[in-house]
Amino acid sequence: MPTKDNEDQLGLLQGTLDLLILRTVALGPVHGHAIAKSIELRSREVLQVGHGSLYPALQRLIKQGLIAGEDGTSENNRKARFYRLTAKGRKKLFAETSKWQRLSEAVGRILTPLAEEAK
Amino acid sequence: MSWGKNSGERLKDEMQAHIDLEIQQNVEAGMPLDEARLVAMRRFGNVLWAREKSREIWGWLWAERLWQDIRYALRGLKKNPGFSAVAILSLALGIGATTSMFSLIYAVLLHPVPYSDWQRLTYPVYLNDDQPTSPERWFSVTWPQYQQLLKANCIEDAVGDDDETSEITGHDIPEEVTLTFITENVSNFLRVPALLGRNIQPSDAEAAQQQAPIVLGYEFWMRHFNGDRSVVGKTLELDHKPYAIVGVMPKDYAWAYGLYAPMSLLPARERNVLPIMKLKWGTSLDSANAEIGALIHQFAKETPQYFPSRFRMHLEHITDRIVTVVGHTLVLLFAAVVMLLIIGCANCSILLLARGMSRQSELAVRAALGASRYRILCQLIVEALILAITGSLLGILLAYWMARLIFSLFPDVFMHESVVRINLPILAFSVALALVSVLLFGLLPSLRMSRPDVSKMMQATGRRVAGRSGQARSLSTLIAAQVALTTIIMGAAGAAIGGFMQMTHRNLGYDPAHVMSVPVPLRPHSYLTREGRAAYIQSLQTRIAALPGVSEVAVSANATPPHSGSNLIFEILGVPSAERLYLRANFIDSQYFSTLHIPLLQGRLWDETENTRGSAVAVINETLARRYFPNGNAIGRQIRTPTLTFQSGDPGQVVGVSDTNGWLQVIGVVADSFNDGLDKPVQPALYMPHPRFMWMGTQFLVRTQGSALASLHEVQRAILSVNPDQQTGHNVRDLNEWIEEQPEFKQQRLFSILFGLFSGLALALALVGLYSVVSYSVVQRTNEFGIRMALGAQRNHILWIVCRNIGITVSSGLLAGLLIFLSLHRLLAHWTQNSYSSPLILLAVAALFLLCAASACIMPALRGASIDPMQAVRYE
Repeated sequence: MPTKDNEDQLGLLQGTLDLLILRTVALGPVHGHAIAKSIELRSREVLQVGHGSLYPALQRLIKQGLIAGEDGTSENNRKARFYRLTAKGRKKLFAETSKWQRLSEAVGRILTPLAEEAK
Repeated sequence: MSWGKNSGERLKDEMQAHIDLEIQQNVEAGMPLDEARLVAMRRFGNVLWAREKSREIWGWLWAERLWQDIRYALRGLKKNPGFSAVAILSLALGIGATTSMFSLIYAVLLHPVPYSDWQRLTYPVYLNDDQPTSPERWFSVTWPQYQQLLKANCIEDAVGDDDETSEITGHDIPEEVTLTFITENVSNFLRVPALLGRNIQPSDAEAAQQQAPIVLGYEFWMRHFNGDRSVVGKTLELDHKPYAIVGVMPKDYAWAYGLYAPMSLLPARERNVLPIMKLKWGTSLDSANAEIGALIHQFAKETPQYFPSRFRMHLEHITDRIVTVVGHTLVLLFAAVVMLLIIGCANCSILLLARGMSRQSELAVRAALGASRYRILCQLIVEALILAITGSLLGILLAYWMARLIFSLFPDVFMHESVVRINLPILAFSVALALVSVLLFGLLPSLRMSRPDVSKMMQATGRRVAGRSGQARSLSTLIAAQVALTTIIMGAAGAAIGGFMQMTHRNLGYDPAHVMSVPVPLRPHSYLTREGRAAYIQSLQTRIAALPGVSEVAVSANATPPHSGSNLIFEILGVPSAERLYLRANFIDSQYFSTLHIPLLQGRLWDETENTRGSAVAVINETLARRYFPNGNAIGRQIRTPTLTFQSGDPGQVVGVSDTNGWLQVIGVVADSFNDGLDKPVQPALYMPHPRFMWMGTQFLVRTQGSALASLHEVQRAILSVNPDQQTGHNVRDLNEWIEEQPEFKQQRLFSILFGLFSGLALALALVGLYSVVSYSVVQRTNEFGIRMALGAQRNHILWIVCRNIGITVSSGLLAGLLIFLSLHRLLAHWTQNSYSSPLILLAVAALFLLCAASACIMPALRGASIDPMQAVRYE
C-alpha cells in the first residue's frame, strides 16, 4: 500500500537516483532489472523503497531526453526494454560527476589542511 | 517522446518481465518457487503505484482521469434517467424562472423605454388648485412659447408634438387617425432607429419637397397595411392631401397607433405644442421645476384662456406613472421566483443526497480498492458539475424562452415602449447558486469518509442502517425547508388568484354584456349652437335605436364605465363646507341608466324635453346621497359645480347652457356603479343632461341583442344615412373590453397567472423530490423490512414506518411555511394595492399540499410494504 512515507523518501533521493541510473546506463544499453541489481550492489540504502520506484525515475529521464529506450531480448529470452545514454545524457552525466568531484575535493581540502601544510 | 496509447501496456509488460527475472534469479539461488515469487514481489513494491507514478511523469494523467470520470458520470446518469431528468429539470426551472422574471423586472423598473437618456426626459404637468386630485398631463403651449422653453437654462433640448385628428381619404374606409406633428429633431433626440425606411429628420424642415413625408407608427402599420413591408415609398392621402410614406417606426416607439409628420407642415400659429424636455446633465428636478414653472406661469399670463386661473406646475419623468403602478407587485413576484430558484436547487440537492446515501457501499468498495479520497472526491465533483452545467444550460434557454413568452402575452402590463433583454448578472447569480448547492450536496456523502474505515463501511452498508445519520438529518432539513417554501409560494398564489377572482366577480353596478361604446366625433366648426348640436345627436340616436338588432341607445359624453365622469368641485345649496368636495360629473341622456341596467332608487329621471333643453336637473348616485344627504332627503335639493363654465368667447368648441348660476335640482337617486376603476371605491357622482355642456363629440352606448360588435357595421351605416360625412371614432369597444383593458385588471390577471404557474412548478418539484426520497429510502431499507416482516411485522406497520419519518418532516415544513406566510402577509398587505386575505386560502393550501404529498409518498411506501420478506432479507 502506498504511503506518504514512500513518496517523501523518493522525493529526497530523486537527484541521486537519477545520477546513479545515468552512471549505470552509461556503460551500455541495459534493461530495468539489470539497472536495479547494479544500483543495489552499489548502494542498498537508495533503493530500499523497492525496484518498482525505478520505473518512474526512468520515465522522468526519458522525458528529459537523457536516456532513450528500445526493445530487445533479455538473457532469459524474454522481451525487455533496454535503455541507453543519449548525447545529452552523457553531457549531463559529465557535468554532474564533475560537480560531485569538485564538491568532494573542496570538502577534502577543508578537512585535511594539516596534511597539506605538512607536505 | 510522449506517452502513447501503447505505452501503458508496454510498461506493464516491462515490469512483469522484471519481476519474472527476479523470480528466476531467486529460484536459481535456491528458493522454492512460492517463496521466490513472494520475495520478488516484495522487492519490487507496489506495481500499480509504480505504473501510476510513471504515467504521471508525462503530465496528461489529469486529463485522462477527467475523461474517465466524465464517462463514468454520464454512464451513471444514463442508468438513472429518472433521477437525472428531475435533477436537471429542477435546476433548469429554477434558473430559468428567476432569470426571466428578473430580466422583466429590470426592464420595467430600470430600463422601461428605448429612448437614449430616458432618465432626463420630462414633460410638464399642472395641478389645478381647484381640482388637485386630477392633474392635467400633456398640456400644450403655443409655438413661440415652445421656443422660449427651448431657451431655458436647464433644458438641453426638447421635442414638441401636436396631435391632430385626420381622416384617411382616397380610400374606401374613411378611417380616422391621429397625426402627430413632431419637431424635426426627434430622431437625434430619441435616437430610436426606424424599423423600415427612416424617421422624421431635420432636413424635412425645408418645405421644398415633392410630397410631404410621413412616418407610420407600428400599430397603425400593422392595422392599416397589415405589416406590408413594401409600404415605404407609397402615397397616403390624409384630408385630401397626399403624403409620401418614408418609414415605419418599431413596436416599442411612442405614438405607435398613429402617424408622424414634420412640424413644419403645420403653420406656426396653428401649433399647440406638447413639450417633452430633456434636462441638462446634473440638473436637479427642483431647479428645473422652478425655472420651467416660472416660464409656464408667464405663459399663463400671456394666454390665460389655455390655463386654469390657479395652478401649480411640476415636471414629471416620462416613466413615472408606469413604474409605481407595477413596481411593487413585480418585486413580490421576483421574491416568489427566487424562492422557486431555491426550491429548484434544494430539490436537486435532495436528490443528490438521497442518491449519495444509497451509494455508500459503492464508495467504500472503491476506497478499499485503492482509490484515494481525493480521487473519489474528484469523481463526485465531476458528476455534480455535469448535472449543474446541463441544468444551467437548459436553464439559460428556458430563461430566454420564458421572458419572451411572458412579454408577448402581456405587452400592455409593461409600458408599451419597453424591450426585454436577459439580465446577465442575475443569470450568473442563479447559475452560481445552482453550482454551489449541487457541489455541496453532491459531495456531502464522500465528506463523511474522513479516515477510510472501510471495513466498517462495507459491512454497515446503508441498506442495513436503521437509525438516523447525519446525512439523513440534513436530508430531512432540506425537505422540510423545501416544503415550507413551496407552501409560502402556494399561499401567495392563492392570495393573488383570490384577489383576481374577487375583482372579476364584484358587482359592477352595471351590466356590460352586449353593450358597446361608439365614439362620434364632430367635425370642427360644425353645429355651432346648442340646439343644433343636441338635435343632431338626437337624430343619430333615433336612427340607431331604430335598427332591428339594437335594444337601446344612450348618449354618454364622458360616462363610459369603469372610469367615468370628470372630477369637479361641487357645492350643496344651504350646506356650507369648510373643505373642498369632489364628485364625478357625467353628461348623459336619460336612456343611460336603462341601457346599462342601473336601477333608479328614488325620485325620477329627466324626460326628453328636459334633455333637449338641457334643463337644470340632475340625478345623483347612492354614494353621494348617503354621504351628503344622510337623512335621505336628497330629492329637491340643489347642487352645482361652480368651475364648470365655458368661455363663450371660444367659438365652436364647447356649447352649453349657462343659467340659474349653475344650480341643478336633484330629481333622482340611482344605484352605485364603478366609476373610478375596478379596484377603487365608487366616487360620488352627478349625472346631468348632456346638452348642458357639449364637446366636439360624444359617445353612444349601444345595447344589442346579440354580440354588440357584430352590429357595428349596421350602426355605422345608420349614422352615415343621417350624415354621410359622419365618422365613427376608431376605438369602438365592447364594455367588457373596457373592463379587461383596465391596467389593474390586466395586472391582477397577469400576476395571478404567474403566481399560479410558479406555485404549480414549485409544488411539482417538491412532490417529485418527496417521491424520490421515499423511493430511495425504501430501497435502502429493503433488508430491514424483510427482517421485520420475517419477525412478524404486518404490512401496515411497514407502511407506517415509511410514512412516519417523511410525515414528520413534511408536517413540520408545512407548519413552518404557513406560519411564515401568515406573518409576511400582514407585513406586505399595506405594500401592494390589492390585499386579499382569507383563512380559506391557508386551509386550501394546506389541504392541497397534504393531499399531493400523501399521494407522492404512498406509492413507494406501498411498494416497500408489498415486498416478499424472503426476497427482502436476501436483497443486496
